[in-house]
Amino acid sequence: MRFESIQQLDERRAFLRDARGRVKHRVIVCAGTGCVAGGAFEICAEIIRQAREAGLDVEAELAPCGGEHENGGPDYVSASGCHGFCQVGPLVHITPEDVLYTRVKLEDVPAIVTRTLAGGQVIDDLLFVDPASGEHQKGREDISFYNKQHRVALEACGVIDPESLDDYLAHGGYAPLVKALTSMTPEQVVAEVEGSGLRGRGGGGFPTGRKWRSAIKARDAHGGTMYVICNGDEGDPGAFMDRSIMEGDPFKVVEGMTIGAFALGSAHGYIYVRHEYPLAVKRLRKAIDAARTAGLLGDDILGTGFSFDIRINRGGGAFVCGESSALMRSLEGQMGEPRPKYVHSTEKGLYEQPTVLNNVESWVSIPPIIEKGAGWFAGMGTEKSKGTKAFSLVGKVNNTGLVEVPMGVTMREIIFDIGGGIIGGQKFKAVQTGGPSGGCLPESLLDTPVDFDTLTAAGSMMGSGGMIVMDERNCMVDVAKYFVNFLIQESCGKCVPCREGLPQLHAILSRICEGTAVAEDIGRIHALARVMETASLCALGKTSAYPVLSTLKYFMHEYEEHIRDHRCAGGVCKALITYSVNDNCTGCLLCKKACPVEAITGEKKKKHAIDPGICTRCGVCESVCNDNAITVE
Amino acid sequence: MLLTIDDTRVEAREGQTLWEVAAENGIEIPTLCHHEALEPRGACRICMVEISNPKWPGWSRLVTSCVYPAEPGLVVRTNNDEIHEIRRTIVDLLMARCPETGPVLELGAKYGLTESSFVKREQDDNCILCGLCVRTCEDVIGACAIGVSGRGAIKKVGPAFGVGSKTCIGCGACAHVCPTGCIQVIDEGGKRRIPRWGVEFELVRCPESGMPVSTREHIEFVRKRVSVGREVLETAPEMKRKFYARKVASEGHM
Amino acid sequence: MGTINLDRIIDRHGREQSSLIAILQDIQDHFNWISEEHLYHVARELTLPVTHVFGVASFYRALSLKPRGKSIIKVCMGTACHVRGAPLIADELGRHLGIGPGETTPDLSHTLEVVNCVGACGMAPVVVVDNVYHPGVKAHRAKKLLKTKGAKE
Repeated sequence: MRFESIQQLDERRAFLRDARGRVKHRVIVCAGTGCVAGGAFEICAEIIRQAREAGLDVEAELAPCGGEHENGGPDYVSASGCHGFCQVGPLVHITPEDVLYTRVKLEDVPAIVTRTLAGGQVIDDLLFVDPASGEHQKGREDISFYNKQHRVALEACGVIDPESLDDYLAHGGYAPLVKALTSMTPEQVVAEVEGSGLRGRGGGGFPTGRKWRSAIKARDAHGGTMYVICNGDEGDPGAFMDRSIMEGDPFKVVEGMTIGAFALGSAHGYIYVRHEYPLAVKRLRKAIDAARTAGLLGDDILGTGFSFDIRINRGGGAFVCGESSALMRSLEGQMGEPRPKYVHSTEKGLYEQPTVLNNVESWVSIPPIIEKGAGWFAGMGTEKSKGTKAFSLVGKVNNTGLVEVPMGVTMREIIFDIGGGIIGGQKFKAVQTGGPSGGCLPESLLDTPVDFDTLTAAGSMMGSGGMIVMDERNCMVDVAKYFVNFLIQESCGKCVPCREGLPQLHAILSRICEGTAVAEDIGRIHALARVMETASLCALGKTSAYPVLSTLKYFMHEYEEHIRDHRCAGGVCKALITYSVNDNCTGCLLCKKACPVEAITGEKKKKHAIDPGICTRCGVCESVCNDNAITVE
Repeated sequence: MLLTIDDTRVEAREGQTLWEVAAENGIEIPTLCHHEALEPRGACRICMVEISNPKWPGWSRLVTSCVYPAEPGLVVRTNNDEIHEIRRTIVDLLMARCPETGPVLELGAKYGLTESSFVKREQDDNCILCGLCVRTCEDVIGACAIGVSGRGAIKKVGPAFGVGSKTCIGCGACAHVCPTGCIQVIDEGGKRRIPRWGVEFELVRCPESGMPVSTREHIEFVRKRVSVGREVLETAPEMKRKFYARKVASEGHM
Repeated sequence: MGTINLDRIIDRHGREQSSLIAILQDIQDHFNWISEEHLYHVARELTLPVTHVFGVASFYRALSLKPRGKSIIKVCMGTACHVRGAPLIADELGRHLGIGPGETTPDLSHTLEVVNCVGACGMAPVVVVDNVYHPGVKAHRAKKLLKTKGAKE
């Protein structure tokens, strides 16, 4: 249905809210990319089918939940976007009882239907087990992974059906846009964003309101067409916040851009989604189509005379296209080579027109800021970094997933209180933040509060929010080499310092990992890194040496061990390690059978042995061993 | 507008780049990828200069002078320790890529480098990827026979698919602007070969002198764009005076 | 060669330069790779120099200018997957297939690619086979992925 006026929208919203109120159980099956891999869609379909077969009143859409229902109301079952608790998916969440079932399999569906939905019982075996206490925890209120978070950008992810405009409206969607269109001027919207203190969530941390203002100033001075772009090219490896927002709350991305377009006087918007996120593209396309059909996007939105439309462009597999000037070249159908930032894209951006580019997380922050006001947003966070931030907490941590907290929470709280500490009881070694532009911080800095400026001062940066936790089995030289290798693949190749400097950095790091380096190599890294930082054309090149520099700063002893002692303490650098069998060996022959080069000898029930002369350090023996009998050092 | 370059007050016009202003005032800033006739690319980074402004004390920035627009009151330093280090390292990096290239080695000598301190590439290639040939072929000539392809360390310049270009007209303008001389244009036996692009052409000979003038494709290309008769284009430059003299004598006009 | 399909793809996106990447992506989705003929055709229809079209096609990693296998195996090399052993998995798969990353088996049955973070970091290490995501892959079980042909099995 098309809303010809705001009044029609309000009436529909009231109806849907009422429908929501009549629902007995809301059953949400997490369907982010991760849980889909675990069979989420099949689980959701089965719950609906089996519940109906069992005679339960089940709806798969919100609207039919309105009207008269018996037995206390219908059960509304649907999929949702990423909940963010990826380690224990597939997830099924039931409200209002707040029961969270984890690691759900298709075989569990009959029990969920009969015992929980029909019988009102909680199935303990499907509950989350807290790694610290060993206790079952019933729901999101009990699980520290959830209850210590403060979700604003991720607020609706895992709560609503991302493919349902009705669910979004019932949840309060589009009320902020209505408020902006009816009771605010474009200038007031810009002022609200400025007052909130929102800084770009893509990593740059540039004040959003100031960016909008400079674009308006440029357009007013020189004319031109204002473009609005959403940067969904989340390229930092290890970061998936934007993916989850695009998959889980696509309507809010659209709404945020629409409010921005109103404030900026733009009629044309683009969402650039990286190639590797097909589900995000699909959900955004659906949301845009639904919004257009409903008159919430396109010509004459809600009969107010304001027109704005959005096109989706897919990335082509280039990390550099996350850089705003490169992204704009890509939209124009060119190679993604950045331009020097002497002329700002707010003045001359897409097609040389004034352009505002913001990150996904920044755009979804706009509707709540408009609805609840700048003061509400600025009341959270630290003095210079307002609001909350979503992080992807991954790596060697127990509760991997998406975490959103107010700025200023410390890394220790995120990694240990919310993340549940290191897997397998191992020792924490480092946390990497800021992607390939960031750095690794050691244990001594775990109490650093996380915000834009504190991490930069420590030699890393907050970046887009990727937080990769490492333990004693990771080698920091290898991590530095990994990032340099990543950037070699992704460098656009235009400028000399980056194109030629990165392979040279890699050559030095490889020598260190192979045990053929000399002490002077450290000085050469510093000298080259300095030039790359000052002379590269764009931020990719300028920050490319940071992962190396931060590991040198905090983990120099590892570099020294590699160079001087030919030792890799993390057991990673193949040239410097040996695989051997320890006394845990039960003689099960598994590793012997699995070894691709027949380097393992041994008989049943007798301790095996690895011939270091034949061993290629492929790691298959360690992977297959169930007794922790392989030592790598 | 007025600005200061290396303690000298200079005048600049709106729209000029710092490099242009410096050049106009006899101040030389080294560069490898810049040419006055072409849009600047800012790729080699050798032309970097330090800018500051008395309006903002304590602030300074390193920018590429070939691209940075002149601003009133700017104070520019074309050299200092940091810039020297940048230029030296860039040349050092290029020498690892192109150990035989004349202009790179010359620049290297200025910074005390006889050979690169870095690891050499597996295959040398005298191309420094300045992109001047591509910009010339695309923007000045308009043949668009060569382009940039690939990304990062495997970035290359050449015809599409790396093989003989179907649109090259053999004009040789690319070789003319190439700073390293790695584009060879070989005229012999009535043919022109540009091995780097994998192309070969028949050369048209001047009817007067018998000397090769250019390729048929080049002549046709120009003829389509300029209202000059084919016979003029096919006459060798040194024979044009004789040609015109005869034409005026017989036809009364040029 | 499927010129009809090619023109349908071009029509869907329009003949502007800004549609170039989307057109090339659809060509790849349809034909499994992008051939020289495809590029010449697109250059003609969009009135762009073929060097420009080739430049764009060779810049973006998602576009393949070589024929690819029937089964495309992508090993995620994001940081989370890297620290959880992705390089060893890639090595294992390469060893079983007899090819390196970025290569296709001579019989065109499999292509092995190492890709940037696919955004499923909570389930590292991840391998995507024919668009189906496989979470928590272990090195010694990696070769089982070669038997699955994605959702069809």
